[in-house]
Amino acid sequence: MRFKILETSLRWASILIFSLLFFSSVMASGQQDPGPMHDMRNMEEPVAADVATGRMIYRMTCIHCHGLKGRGDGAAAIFIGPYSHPRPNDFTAGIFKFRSTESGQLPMVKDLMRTIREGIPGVMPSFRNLGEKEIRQVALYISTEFIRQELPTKTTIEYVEHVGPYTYSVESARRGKELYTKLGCAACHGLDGRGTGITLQDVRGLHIMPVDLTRQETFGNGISHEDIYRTIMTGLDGTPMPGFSDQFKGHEENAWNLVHYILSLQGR
Amino acid sequence: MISLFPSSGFAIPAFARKYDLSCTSCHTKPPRLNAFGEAFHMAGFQIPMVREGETKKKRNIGRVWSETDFLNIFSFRANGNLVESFQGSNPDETNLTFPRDLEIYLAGTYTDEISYFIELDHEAGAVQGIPGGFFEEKSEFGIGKEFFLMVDLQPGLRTLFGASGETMTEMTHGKSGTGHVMFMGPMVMIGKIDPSTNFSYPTNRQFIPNVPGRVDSGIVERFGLTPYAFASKFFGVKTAEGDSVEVTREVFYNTPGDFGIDLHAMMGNLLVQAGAMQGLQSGSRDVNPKKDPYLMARLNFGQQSYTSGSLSGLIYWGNDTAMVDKNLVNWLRYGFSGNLKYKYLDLYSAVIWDVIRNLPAGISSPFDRTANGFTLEGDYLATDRLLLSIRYDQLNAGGFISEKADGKVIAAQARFYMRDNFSFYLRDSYNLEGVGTNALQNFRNFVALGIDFDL
Repeated sequence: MRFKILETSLRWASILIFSLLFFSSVMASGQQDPGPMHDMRNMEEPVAADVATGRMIYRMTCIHCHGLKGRGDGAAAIFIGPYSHPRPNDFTAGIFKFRSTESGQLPMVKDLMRTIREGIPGVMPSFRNLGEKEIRQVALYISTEFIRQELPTKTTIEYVEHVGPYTYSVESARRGKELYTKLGCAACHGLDGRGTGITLQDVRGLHIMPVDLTRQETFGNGISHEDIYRTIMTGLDGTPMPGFSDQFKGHEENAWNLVHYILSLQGR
Repeated sequence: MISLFPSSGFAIPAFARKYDLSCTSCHTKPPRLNAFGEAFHMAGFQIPMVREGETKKKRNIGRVWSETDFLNIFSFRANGNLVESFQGSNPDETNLTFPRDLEIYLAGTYTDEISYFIELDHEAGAVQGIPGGFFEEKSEFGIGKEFFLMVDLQPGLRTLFGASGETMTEMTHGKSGTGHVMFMGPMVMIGKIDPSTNFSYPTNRQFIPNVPGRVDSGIVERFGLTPYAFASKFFGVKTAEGDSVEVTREVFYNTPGDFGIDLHAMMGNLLVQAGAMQGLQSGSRDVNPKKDPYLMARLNFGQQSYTSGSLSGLIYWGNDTAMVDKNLVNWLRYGFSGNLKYKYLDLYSAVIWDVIRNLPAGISSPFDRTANGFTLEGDYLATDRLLLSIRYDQLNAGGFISEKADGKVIAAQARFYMRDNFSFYLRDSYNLEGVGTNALQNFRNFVALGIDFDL
């Protein structure tokens, strides 16, 4: 039966081809000029219209995991990490893993936007194609509707720009390894960066495993050099990963050595 | 007792690869969709509103997205029973069929508005009706349950109606007096489709697989086990071409795939679906010039406290697609289904009534032109790797009174996931009616150990 297509295959093919041509032409003619990049002036300031649009986008795309009230209890949430970490964030609790601010502080709007834009590998898709304007609108909606506190507009952490080639040297990796030992990273991540096999708990009491530093695909906060630097400085609130900005205060450039050591574990 | 069984669901690991997500972002466990997976499917295999959310691995040629990684659109599935054993009457059977079912999928997006789903399938030992009231078992390779294009009509409609800018947003989302109403679609599916994927009980996404029937010398010795609510239910009914129809065969709206056109749209929490199909799985043959129209509506609720659910209503008009003796008849099907998900518990059920219309006088023997079926399945994810399922099926059959019998079967299953895309299952099905001589009640108690694998 399955290959008896002769009688009407032409008819179906005609319908398909006609439909494709019709809708392609209609949609091509309907292309909107994207216009100039959205004006990012005063990015932190919520505007009612932006929040309203952010709400609509949230209810189309985010609600399934983060839930109607932003508590991370959407219908799909529990299956992302069944019986374990990770779970979608509860925005109302005011604890955010991915920030550029000090540990314990709220994120900036640009931090929320970065997470929405980049996603979290294995867990949350990238919403890059929403567009920067829409990403900001969603961030503003989350901020005003769920966090309900004024978000910081700057961070007190000193971010020192990377100097030199974007790769590790034998010397920088060696210095980074010394820091790795001195700061006690091996207690969770293991001497070789692959983890110790211990199971920890996040703030919700869910099981969580330390990241395997040799596998960049497990890095939730991004894999770029700057992402790793930021993670070291801020930590991941709600998890056992602390921030080390105090330890590097005044010598922030040294944190790049630790970044280089982690890069060396990954051979990049 | 082990066998490899045709599980009629599908998980698409290609999508997980493409979006860099785990399977359980869209599934409770494959193949069952969670709320996000349903929204993803509804949006044409895209994240709602995002339009090709992950384009890093794609080449954009004008408006066409060209995949640079074939694995982003390719998936493979194999399943079956390592051993299956039927007990309860003589002769007992013990079979080994591996693989029972092989499926290849190609699925993805062609442009922001056009997506495709292509399924090729090889099934071993499928029971099929043939003319003369007989059946046969045969293995087949060809187009599977679904083979279609899905087109999002909304951009085209916006253009036709001249909406733009903020007006587009208004039209996209709509507005009610008390607030915004989200609007998704309308989406049209063209080709071989299984519209039941939008029903509250989608038969292509259940954990307990169907059990194939058995044929001996053209006669059905044992009917298969499918969700009885969606079974054809009538003894002695044939297709318009005169092929016999298994009384437990899934037909009409919940056909395992038929050629037609389907249109669906979502307004707020209400999904409305309408379409027309060939009916009774006529393949691509245009044997039904009148086509079978159907209408379905689904109301979603929940979305917080780890809860979601839906209620659906369906009406389907089989238009001269069935035959009793040598008379073409109309076939009305209507019913309801519901789904409730709370944390790790997932309940779904359906009750469907069927009525044969315009039955002519003078058919060969007394005929019951009404039938109904009820199916209830519950799944519980007991640990992150162990899924427990139970299903009850009841069939109050119609058709020739001299031939018909009713059925009640309860099935239980434990499925152990080595990984999200690789599971073993142990299942048992028990015939509550007791083993009889009728081929429906000759569904003998059944134990199977199977494997399900997705790449």
